[in-house]
Amino acid sequence: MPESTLPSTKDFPSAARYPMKKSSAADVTALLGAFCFFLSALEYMVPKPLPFMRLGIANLPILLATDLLPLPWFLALALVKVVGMSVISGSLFSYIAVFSLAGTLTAALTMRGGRKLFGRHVSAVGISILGAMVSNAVQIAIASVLVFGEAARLIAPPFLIMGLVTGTLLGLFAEAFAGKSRWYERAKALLGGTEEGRA
Amino acid sequence: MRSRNKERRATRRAAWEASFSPWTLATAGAAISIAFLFQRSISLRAIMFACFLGVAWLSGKKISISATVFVSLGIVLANLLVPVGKVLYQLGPLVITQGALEDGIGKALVFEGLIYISKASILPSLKLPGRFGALVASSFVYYDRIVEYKGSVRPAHLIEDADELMLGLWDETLGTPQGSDRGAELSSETRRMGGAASIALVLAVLASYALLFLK
Amino acid sequence: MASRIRIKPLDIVIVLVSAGILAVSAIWAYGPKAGDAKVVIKSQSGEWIYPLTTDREIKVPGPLGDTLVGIHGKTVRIEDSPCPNKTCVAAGAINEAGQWIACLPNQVLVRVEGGAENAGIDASVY
Repeated sequence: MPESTLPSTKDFPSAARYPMKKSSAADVTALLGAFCFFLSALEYMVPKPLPFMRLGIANLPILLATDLLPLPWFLALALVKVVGMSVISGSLFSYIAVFSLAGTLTAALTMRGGRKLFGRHVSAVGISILGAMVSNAVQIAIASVLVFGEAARLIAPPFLIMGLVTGTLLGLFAEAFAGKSRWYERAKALLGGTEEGRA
Repeated sequence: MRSRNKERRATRRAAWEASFSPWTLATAGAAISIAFLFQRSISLRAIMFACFLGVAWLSGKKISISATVFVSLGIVLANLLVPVGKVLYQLGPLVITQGALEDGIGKALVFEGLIYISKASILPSLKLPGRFGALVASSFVYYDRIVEYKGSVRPAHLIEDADELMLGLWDETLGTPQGSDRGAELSSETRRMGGAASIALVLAVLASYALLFLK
Repeated sequence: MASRIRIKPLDIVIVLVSAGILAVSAIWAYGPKAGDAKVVIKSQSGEWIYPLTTDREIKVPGPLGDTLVGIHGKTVRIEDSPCPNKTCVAAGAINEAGQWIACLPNQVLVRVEGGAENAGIDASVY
């Protein structure tokens, strides 16, 4: 584990002060949220030409949660990811948080909506691609208003290609993980899964 | 050299965190950010940006001048691609126009400025309120465990190893807080800020709004 | 438990649709379009460039005074000029690449450049 380069919550003294209530949905949400932070930190270390536009790897736990968490907890997970990362990186008041919020929420809502619309006729791959494409399109639109002006359209194609590629890869991983993971199986049994996921 | 810089930064950070209560600092930062967003004058924006940079340095947060320059250049360049206004200079196919240049510089200042004021005003000990705050805090605890994980996650066996990690975290019982810890926690939240720190925050907020009325 | 990655037919559809959207976005981003049209104004004091798509009024200084150039509804015209005959004002509005209006007494030239030559067709794909 590359622990020396990642921020640690030893820096967050208040974190250890909260009792862990044994509420299954809250526990699963908190655990998946932690993985969102971890993957965000990993993603941060990958050099990008546009540092504030996310690769989307950190949305993997949200993708897994699409069939796992009830909607309120699913949305809470998305917010935990955005707010938690904004506090860790100190970017809460910056445009970075705006991109994070827009990108994460649209990805989450699209993935959830896609599952509701297509049910079992689509796998995690399709859902993931939908989420990534819509999320990246929204971020480009925001970039054109806040940062780049009309020139934002020039970065649209490479950014969308990236969305298609990472969406596919994340979807493949999620499908494989959901099929193989004992933790996922236990969590699903505990939570009963979602209606669409159960079909 | 690097470790000495790190030490100095850690010292600054400790001093900064000891001087302010998290919520007051965050509120002041939010108020200043809003004033900054409304500031139309490029020169005043530049002055505020410089102040934010200085304050972020004081707070002991990591600052990357090269990243700031690189991103800002990118923003300015992108805005120059659509020419607007009086032609100032022509660099080959790129026409540098006054309006586009001012737009680009303005946007870059806002983008980077907000990052620095945000870094200075968000303390990691910021406790978010309510059940949502508790959820975020629980995530932080799990995150800590992930970073401290002593087992290996091999790329060739990514799914199995990640699954092991998740099962390990899941089966751990995270305990309830100790009485004395609770006390320390509450006292840090309700700690009174020093007079100098409070005055500094008030002045900073007032100054950022006063600048809105300057031409 | 054996890992089984089950790809569904709809996944393929989504991939194909995404690829299609990608292609369209590339054409939109990199191909020429009418929106690229620019207004180029030249005078003694320098050169100005503005997009044809955004309404604005521009004061162009010349030896006789200021010529007022107006961009409205994706067309550009000289709205007023300190010249004696005002032929430049009477010339009306232009909006296609290659067209121009000049106020010779005040040494102001207004030209439309770039964008599609024929403003009626934005792009053709065969």
